[in-house]
Amino acid sequence: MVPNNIQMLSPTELSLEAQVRPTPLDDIDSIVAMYQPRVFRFLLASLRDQDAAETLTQETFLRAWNARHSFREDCSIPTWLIRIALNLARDHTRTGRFRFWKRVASTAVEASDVAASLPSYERSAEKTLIARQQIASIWETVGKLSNRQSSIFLLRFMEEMEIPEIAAATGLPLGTVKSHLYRAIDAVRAQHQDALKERS
Amino acid sequence: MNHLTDQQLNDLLAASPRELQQMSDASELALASTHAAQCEQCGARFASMRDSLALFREAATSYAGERQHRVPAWQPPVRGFSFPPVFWTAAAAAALLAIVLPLQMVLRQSQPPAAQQTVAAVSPHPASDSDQALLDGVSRELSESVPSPLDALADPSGSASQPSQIANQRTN
Repeated sequence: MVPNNIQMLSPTELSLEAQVRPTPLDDIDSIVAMYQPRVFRFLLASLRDQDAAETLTQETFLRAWNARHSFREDCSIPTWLIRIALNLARDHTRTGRFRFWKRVASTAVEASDVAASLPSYERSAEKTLIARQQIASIWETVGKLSNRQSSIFLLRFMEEMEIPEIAAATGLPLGTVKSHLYRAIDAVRAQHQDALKERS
Repeated sequence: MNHLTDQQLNDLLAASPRELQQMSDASELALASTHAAQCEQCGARFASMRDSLALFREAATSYAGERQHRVPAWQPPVRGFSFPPVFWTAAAAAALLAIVLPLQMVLRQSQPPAAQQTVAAVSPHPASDSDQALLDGVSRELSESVPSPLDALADPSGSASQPSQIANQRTN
């Protein structure tokens, strides 16, 4: 028996109520200003294609805006945005067309370009050169990882997300995230040690 | 303690600064961290990898930042009050009428006067006169005892001669 003071709402009314309710994403200008660089950076490093990263960054915020009423605040806004971006990137990389264009795209990101972006302040020329070699080495190694390992590695070491946050963004269990992360670190570390041996 | 294993090194690298601050002294992570701080070889391995990852982050951030200016600032789609589809159908019909009606009026006005005179000549009588004549005709038809198409049935004698006439025509 439902008490009289409780108003029963039909599913339509509930849906309308949800659409009227204010959400943390209503101030979309602030959200975009705060998180667009981060989403773009993650997509650029994941896809290694500037055009695709730009398109999917726009798409991420469009999806977030359209689905803002379904945001339940069970994770932070950046984690939620990264989750959307991850899904978009995964769908994008699944297509054969992407794989073809990745090979021929003029907007593909080269390891040397990324390494050259390292600011050279407070470093000697020699140290800057060594640092750029290390960066190029990591960039190339991450590019050879599986999509999942690469995403988790980037989320941890580029976006500085903690493992529980990565689990929330990827929808994977903590143990699985750790397992993929450790394999990625192993690969990067092995490459790094080889480079150190060559240098010495 | 022996040197750090790969697993312990991975634990240290994967741990966030917050985790390293909040770890208990007896945890595996704390032991590994203490060892890395005391052992020169393990400390160098850890520091080298940690610094490389920091450089990677710095370069990737800088690279993306340089290209960020190309990405247009995202604007939410403007969605004010949206009219229902019926509204658009009605609006389209109204717009069509607004175009067609004046056009038709212009066409009528531009019709040559001769054509109008011809129309007038064909129908000299007013419409009410022709209607009256039609009604009179119908009344006349109804008032006849035998309708004209059934005259042959009404006069059997006349009808008997008709087949012979037809037969004569056939023989001729």
